[in-house]
Amino acid sequence: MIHAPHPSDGSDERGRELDIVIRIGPDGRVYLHDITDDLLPVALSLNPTDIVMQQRVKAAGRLDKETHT
Amino acid sequence: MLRSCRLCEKRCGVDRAAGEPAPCGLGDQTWCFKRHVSYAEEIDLLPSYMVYLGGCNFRCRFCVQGPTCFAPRVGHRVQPTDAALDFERMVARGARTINLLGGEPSLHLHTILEIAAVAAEPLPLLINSNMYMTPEVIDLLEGVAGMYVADFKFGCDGCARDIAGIDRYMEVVTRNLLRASEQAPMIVRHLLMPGHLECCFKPVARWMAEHLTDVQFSLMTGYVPAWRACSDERLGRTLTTEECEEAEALVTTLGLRRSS
Repeated sequence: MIHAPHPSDGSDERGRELDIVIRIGPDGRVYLHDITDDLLPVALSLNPTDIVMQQRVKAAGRLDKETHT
Repeated sequence: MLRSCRLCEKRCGVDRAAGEPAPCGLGDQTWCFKRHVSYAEEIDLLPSYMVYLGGCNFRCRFCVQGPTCFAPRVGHRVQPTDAALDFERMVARGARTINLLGGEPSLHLHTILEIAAVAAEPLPLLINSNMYMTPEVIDLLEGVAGMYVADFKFGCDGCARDIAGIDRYMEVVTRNLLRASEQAPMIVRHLLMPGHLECCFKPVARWMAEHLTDVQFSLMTGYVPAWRACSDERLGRTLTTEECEEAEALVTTLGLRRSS
C-alpha cells in the first residue's frame, strides 16, 4: 500500500493522503485499487506487456492537466 | 421519501429530514469523504472521477472503505451547486464518468437529483451501487443515472445476512438489476471471495447467464481481506490461483459478456 500525499489530478484532495494499493497476485497479475495517474507507470513496470494496464496509461492521457485549479 | 425513508429496502421509515438517525446513520445531509480521478475502474469508464459519499446500509466485513465509509459526516458537506460545478470542471478536463460511490450513493438520491437539476449540462453520472435500493429510487434516477456499476456481491441470502447483515438480498438485488438495466447501461461486478465460489460466485454467474446475457460482467479477482475480514475464518485470506481459474473458466463456459 502506498500513501500518495498529493493526487495531481486536479481533484480537491490535494494535501490529503490517498491509500493506493498495487498488488501482485499469485498468478502474476497486477491488481489495483484507487490508482492515480502518478502511479500508473509503477503498476505498468510490474508487467509491461499487460494490455489492460497499457490502456489505463493511455486513458490517463485523456485528462487535461493544464487547467489545475 | 426522506420524511419516511424508503430509499433502500430496509424501508426504515425514519424521518431523515427531521434529523432522526436512520439505521444507516444518515440524515438529510450528504458528505464526501474522498474524491480523486482513478484509473483502476473498467477501461470504458476511464478517466473516472471517484466521488465517495459517506454512509452505507451494508456492513460487509471485507469492505475496503470500512469503517470510514460508514460515517455519515466525514470529509466535506456536499453542496449541490458546488458539486455540479466541480463535476462539470472534471468532465471538461476529460473525465469520462462521474463515479458516485461510497458508502452507498443511492441513499443520497435527493442530493444526486439536485446536482443533476442544477448542472448546466447533463452529467455522465455513474451510480456505483450495492443495488439494495427500492424500485422507486431506480425510477427517479431514470434519465439522471447515465450508467450503473452494480455490485452483485452474494449468491445466496445466507451469505448476505452473515457477511453484510442484509435480509432478502437475492430477491431485492436481482429485481433491481433487471429494472435498472432497462433504464441505463450497466456493468455488473462480482468480487470473488475466498471460499465462496459455490455459494456466491456460481449462483451469481448462472443468474447472469440466464437473465442478463447482454450486460457486461466484471469478475474481480483482486480480493484482499480488509476491515473485519482479516480475522474471519473464510474471508481472512487472498484467493488461490485455483479459485481464480475455476471462476474464470465458468465465466467463459457460460458465455458471459466480459468487461475489462
